[in-house]
Parts: sequence; C-alpha cells; structure tokens
Amino acid sequence: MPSKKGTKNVIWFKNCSTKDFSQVGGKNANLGEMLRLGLRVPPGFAVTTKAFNTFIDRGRVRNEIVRTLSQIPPENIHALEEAGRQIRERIESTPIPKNIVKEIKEAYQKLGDLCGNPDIPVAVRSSATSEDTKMASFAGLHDSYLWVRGEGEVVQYVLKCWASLFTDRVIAYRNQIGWPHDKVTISVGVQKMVNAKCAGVMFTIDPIMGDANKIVVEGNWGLGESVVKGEVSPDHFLVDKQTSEILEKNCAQKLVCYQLEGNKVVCRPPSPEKQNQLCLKDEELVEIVRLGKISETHYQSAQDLEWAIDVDLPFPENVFLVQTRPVTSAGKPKQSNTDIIIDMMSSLFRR
Amino acid sequence: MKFYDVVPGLDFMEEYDLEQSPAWFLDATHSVPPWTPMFGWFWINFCRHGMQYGAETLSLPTVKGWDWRFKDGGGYLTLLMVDSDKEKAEREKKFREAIRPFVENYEGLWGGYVKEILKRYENLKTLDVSTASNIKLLENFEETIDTCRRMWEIHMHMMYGTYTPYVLFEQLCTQLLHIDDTHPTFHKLVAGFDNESFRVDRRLWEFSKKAKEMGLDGLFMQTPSKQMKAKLGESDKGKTFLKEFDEFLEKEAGWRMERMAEINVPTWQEDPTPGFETVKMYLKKGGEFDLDQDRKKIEKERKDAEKEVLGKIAPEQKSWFSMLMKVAQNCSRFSEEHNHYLDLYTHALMRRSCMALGNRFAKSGSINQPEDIFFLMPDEVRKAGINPDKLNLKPIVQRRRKEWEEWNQNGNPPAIFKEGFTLEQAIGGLVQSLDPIALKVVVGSMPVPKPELKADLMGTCGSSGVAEGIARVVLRDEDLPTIQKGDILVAMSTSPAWTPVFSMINGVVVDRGASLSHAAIVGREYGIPVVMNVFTGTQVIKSGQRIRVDGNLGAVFILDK
Repeated sequence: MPSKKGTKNVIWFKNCSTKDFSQVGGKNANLGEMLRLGLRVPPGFAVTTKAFNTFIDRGRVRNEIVRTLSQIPPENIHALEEAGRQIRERIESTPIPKNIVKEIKEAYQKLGDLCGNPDIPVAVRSSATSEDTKMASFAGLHDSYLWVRGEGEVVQYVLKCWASLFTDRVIAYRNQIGWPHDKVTISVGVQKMVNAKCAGVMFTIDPIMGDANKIVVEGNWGLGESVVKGEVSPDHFLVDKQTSEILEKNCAQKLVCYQLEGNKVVCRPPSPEKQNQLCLKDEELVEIVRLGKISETHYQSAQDLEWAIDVDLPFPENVFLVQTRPVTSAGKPKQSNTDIIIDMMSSLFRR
Repeated sequence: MKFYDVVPGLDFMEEYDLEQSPAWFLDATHSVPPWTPMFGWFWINFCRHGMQYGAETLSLPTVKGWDWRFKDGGGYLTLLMVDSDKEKAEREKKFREAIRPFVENYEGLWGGYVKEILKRYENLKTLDVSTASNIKLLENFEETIDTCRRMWEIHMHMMYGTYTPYVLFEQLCTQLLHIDDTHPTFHKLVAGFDNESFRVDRRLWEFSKKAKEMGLDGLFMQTPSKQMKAKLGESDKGKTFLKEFDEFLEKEAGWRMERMAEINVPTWQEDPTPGFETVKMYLKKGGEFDLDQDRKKIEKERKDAEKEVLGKIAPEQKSWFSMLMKVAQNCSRFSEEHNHYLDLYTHALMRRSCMALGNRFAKSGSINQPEDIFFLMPDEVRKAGINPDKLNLKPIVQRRRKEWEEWNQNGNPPAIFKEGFTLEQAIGGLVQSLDPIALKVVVGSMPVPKPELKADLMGTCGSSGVAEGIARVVLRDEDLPTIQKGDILVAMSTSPAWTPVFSMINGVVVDRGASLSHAAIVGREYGIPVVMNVFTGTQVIKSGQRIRVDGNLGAVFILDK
C-alpha cells in the first residue's frame, strides 16, 4: 500500500484512532480508541505500515518476493512452503532503514522512561490492515511475542512480525482469494507487558444470576492466567453497578499464582500472609469497576473483561484493562431460554 | 468338566482391577443380598454398557460412565473419569448439543423410548412359552438379552440427561434462594406429580374399595394373602373379582417382582400375593382414606411453592428459571416411571424367558428344578438349549448354588480400596467426577453434626416433616409384610416394590440415600418425613422401639432405650 506523505513510522497508541486504520491496523487502532474513551490499557506504540512499506520497497525486496511467488504454481504446496521460507529468511536478514530503527528505539526508550525501567518488557504483535483483517483471523496471523526486552530485541521481533506475512498459510490464502502479494502491508504494535501485582476478570453482569445490576470482579495475585484458566478459587467481589457500592468481598485462600521471574513466567504459591489477604484494595476495585462501566456503555452490551494492576506505575495509572469482549453466557438478550440453560449446565462440569 | 468364572471376564480380580482404579464401591441398593450368577451376568454386562453408552451419547464432560465387576454376588462399580482438560473441553462442545432434547422435548424423548421398549416387550410376549419349540425358546432368550441391552441404553441415556438439569436447578436454588435439596421448600417443588407407579397404587386402592363393595373385605382380612387366589376362586363373586384382578396384572402391574434387581422371585403374574397384600393393607386402613386427596394436597403445595419461589426470582430471570424448574421436575416422575417401564418390566421378561428354559431343562433332567437356571451362564444355556437332555448341568448348578449360599451368609464389603487409599479420597473422587447419578442417587450430602440436638442419629433431610412411631427394621423384601400402619420404616435403602407401604407408614430412616434416591422421592410424594445417610440406622435402631424422625433437622431420636 503506497504511503501518504506526512505519515510517521511510529505512532503512540494514545494518538491512534480508527481514522488511522490503514497505517496502524485494526488492533492498534482499537487500543487508541480505548484510550480515548478513558479505558486504560498498557501504554505502547504502533510501528506503522509506512515503516513496513519503506523497508520492503527499498532494496527491491518486494519485487523479489513477487517474482519468487509468481514462478511457483499455486497448487504446489511443497514449492510454496519452500518459497515462503526463502522470503521470510530474506526479510529477516535485510537490514531495516536506519531512520526507522532509530525511531523504534527512541519510542522504546521513551516507554522505558515512562515506566521507570529502561529494559521494560513488551509484547510485540502484528496488527493487520483492512483487506488483510479477514485473512488475519483465517490464517492465524496472531503471532504475539511476549516479554520482549531491550531495543535490539524489539527491532528484531518487529522484523519477525513483518516476515509473518509470508507464512505458507497466508500465502495460500492470498492466492485463493486472488489478493496480490505486492499490495500486502502490516503494522506492528509494541506494548508494555503488564507487570501485574494482581490480575483477574470482571463481568459487568452477574454471569450466573444474569443480574444486570451487579458487577462481579474476581482476582488473584500475579498475572491473570490463574483466574482466566480457573486454576485457583479467586477472591470474589460483588459491586452495585449504579452506585459502585461494594456489596461483597470474599477472600479465598489463594494457593498458586503466576509471576515473572527473569524472562520466565512461573507458577508459585503466594507468600503465606498473602494467601489469605484480599488481592485488591477498595480504591483499586472501584477503579476497575469504573473502567468496566465505561466499556459496557461504549460497546452497548455486558462485557467480559480482563484487568491487571501494574507495579511499575502509580495508582490510578496502573489499573489496566487487558481485554474486553461481550459476555457470551449470560445477559445476551436474544439468547433463548434453552441456550441459557444449556450454557449453565455445561458450566456445571467446569468447576 | 471345567467351570467358568461366574461372570466370565467381569469377575473382580484384585491384582488387575485395583491397578485400573483404586476404589470400587458395592452397589448396596441393588446387589444386597447377593445376586444369582445369571442375574449378575445381565447386570454387570448391560448396566455397565448402558452407563458408558449414556455418558458417551451425552458426551458428559467429566465422566465416561461407570465400570462394573462381579464379586461374590455383589456388583462393584468405579467411575471412569475424563482426565485431560483438552478432552473435557471437546466433550463439552458435544454435550451442549446432546443435552438439548432434554430441555426442549423431554416428553417426546421419553415417550419415544417408552414406545420403543414396550414394542420389544410385546414381541417377546407373543411367544407362548409353554408350547414353543426349544429353538424358539432359545431365540426368545437371545432377543431378551438384546432387549436388556437396549433397555440399559435407554435407561442411562435418560437418567444422565434427566439428572443433569436437576443438579443445576438445585445449585441455582441454593445460590439464588438459599434453599438446597434438603430444604422443605425444595422438596415441595419437586413433588406432587402423577406417575405410572402411583397409577398402579391407585388401582390397588380401587380394588380395595371394590372388595368392600362386593362384601369381600371379610374374606380378605381372614385369609392369608398367599391363599387368597384359591379362596377367591371358590365363589362367583370372588371369581368376578379375580377376573378383573388378573386382567389388571396382565395389562398394568403384573410385570414386576418384589425385588427389582433380581429374577429369582416370582412376578406378580405368577404369584399375586404382594398385590393382595396391598389391597388388604388399604382395607385395614379403612375406607375413608382417600389417596387422591392426599396427592391433590401435595400437588397444591407444590404449586404454592412454585409461586413463592418465582416471586423471589428477578423478573429478567423468571422465564428461563421456570423453564429449568419444569425440566428438573421431570426427575420425580422419571425416577418412578423408569423403574416401571424399564428395570422391572425387562427383569420380569428375563425371568419369563429363563424360567421357560429352566422348565425344559428340568424336564429333560439336565438340571434338578427350573430355578436352577439362575445358576447358569448364557453360554451354558446356549450349549444345552436345543438338546438339554444330552447335557448334565447339575454339577455346575450344585457348585454355584453352594457358593451363592455362602455369599448370602457372608455378605460383601461396602467398598474395596487399594492399600493406603481412604474412604475420604474415594468419596472425593466421586464428587470430583460431577457424575449426576453418583452425586444425587449414590453419595448424597453428608450429615452435619449438631451435638446440641442430642439426637441418636444424624442424617440429611430427604423429605421434611416430623413423625413418631414404632420402628420397623426391614433388611429384606420378604420382611415388608411385618410393617404395621403408623410404623417408621428403617432400612438400608428402599426400592420401587416398597412404594405401596409408604402410604401406611409415618416416616422413613435409611442408611444411605440422596435427594433422588427412591426413599426420598416417594417420601415426598406421600408427604412423610425421610431422614437419609444416617449410615448405621439398621444397626442402632431395633424393631419395636419408639422413635421420632425429624426430617427438618435431619435427626432421629430413639424414645425408649
């Protein structure tokens, strides 16, 4: 995709909006939208399609790719795999233009300053643009590289995301729908990994009772995995949606939690005193609920969210939403009674 | 002659079976006293098949049904758990579709199955077993085996599918309304439904009215039930009564035995004594007793409870909640009806087929008496089926009968565990399986100790209310006639053949039970208190002692010690 004059190689999420879709892709644009609404997400920036286009057009990489792919018959899977491998190698071994490398590194340093950690761990992930959005979900173009540290590493994983446009599945899919290989482009998001003190989930409707006047928050120490996967009985909070009054605080004995140690996520028991201590302070809980309500109002349906409290930043800037999606089990107005009952019966077997 | 194992391939073998699973439980509801080898063969093979068929057809996410073994006449079971989370997730996807008919079209599903199985029964019954050739009898035997297999498939598909929504309903009642399945309001919600078992009961009560109208009540009271048939045959009035009664047995109630899970006792058709016994019981109670009125009262209580509960449910939840309640309420009806249409009927026809062959075998001299057939295996029946006169099966029968008598004397342990494995771990496993049958029929809730009550036994509430009366400890079906009006029945557990006595007793205490076990369901339908899971009731309470059963507290008090 030809780049417009005046566009940048790097745009901060807080400056992204749906208007920038073609430059930053769907995922990054959405993060920008969330920030605009006041839905706090971990800070970061997008490496735009302009950066990719500049890279791929220089040194005739794009021409070479097109030539390689036009020479193989589309039905020859083996040849296609081999071509894909060659192209990816070619991309990953081509140096990125110096000014782009500089901009990415500067952005990363700024992010590090913001969080008080020059080696701040980030997630690097592809963010597909319009025509490729469908393909992205089809071909599994969802590569996320987590816990990436240091500017050199970040640049290297941006390159990996770019190369992922030419995995064999993606190539095959493009052939199938007749999308020309020379027009593809991609943006990459670089976002702070949440260094979670505690994390968990929130439903802006009581998912079991279907009570739309209540918000349920569940959490545990460390990263959110333990709660999302249902590996612990988490602390359970019930909050009135209208008044934000805390109705219930149930402290569970939390026997495991996920924590970052070096570059690895490990599963450990929390310290003895933390096991029987609520993982959220009241002010944190109220802030989480406030974000949940904004999200529900914006998306106009009950939301199933993941949240985390970061240790690197001060309150309330450290209260993050990591994920938001419509609640599927309860509260869907058009769901039939049978489906509601089946949903609940099937959840019986998940405890 | 080489003897087979009793249930070849399915006899309990400690060294292998404890490796497969560290905990095996005795099915005390069905296999105490010990089964005859023939019945054991049927049960172990097909109940096992049915449970795994049912769990697989429904794709239950956490359990693949039960495995069964035969040990000294006892049926021992263990749960087949789903181990990996990945498999659970895959099964759950299919489960969501497989359970749908139970929510949307229960009547259609159950009605269709009843029709299918009744058709098989009619086919089996068309053969006149007294005149049929040996070949035809053998053919009938094979078809009976296949009918039993199919019966268990239907049985367990229906049972798993019926009890799963019940478990959800109970859980929601606990969460939303703070009433669990030991709470009186909950009991009212799931009682007051008509079913086939009650219709039989009502018909027997109608016969008692008829006997009185015809002036036969005196005869009934004086004559032991065993001789009733002969006595009735002596007069014209009696003959008229008998003709109608026989018709009733043939069409409605004759295809059952006093013990549900055995085939070595006569069906009501062969020996209508239990039916006469019940008629007599209703006569004793007096003509003013109106079963229908009692039933109507319970039905009304249910409707009131429904209103009360729905009043407490948030408006936006009412619609699906009341639908779920209806689905869960199917349990009461299903529990009694499935026994009537499935177990009892099939077992009666198994007996019919076996006895027909037994008669031929005995006549030809290959066994001593027709009942010896219950000590043979199907393969041995096949071996001798066409030419029984050429085979001497007496040594097999003699050996197995002797063993069976020993089993009866010794009894079977309630559970067999691998060394170092504890009851707590085993119960934990059952609970973890989330198997609805294990939870709501076998295990049940555990009693909460309440020392301040100074009760002699603590259990859980199967049906609420308080009653006092004379304790009658009944360990075997044969002892049922010892029960007097107003007694408190004390038993290990109860079965459908016991249903009629519920209308004359004041309360029930059972050693083991859960909210969907027979004693609880029928106790609720008759509105009498039932205390379950007292574990040692049959040992601690002595027949003749005056006791108080407090269903509400789950407590039993012995009043004269």
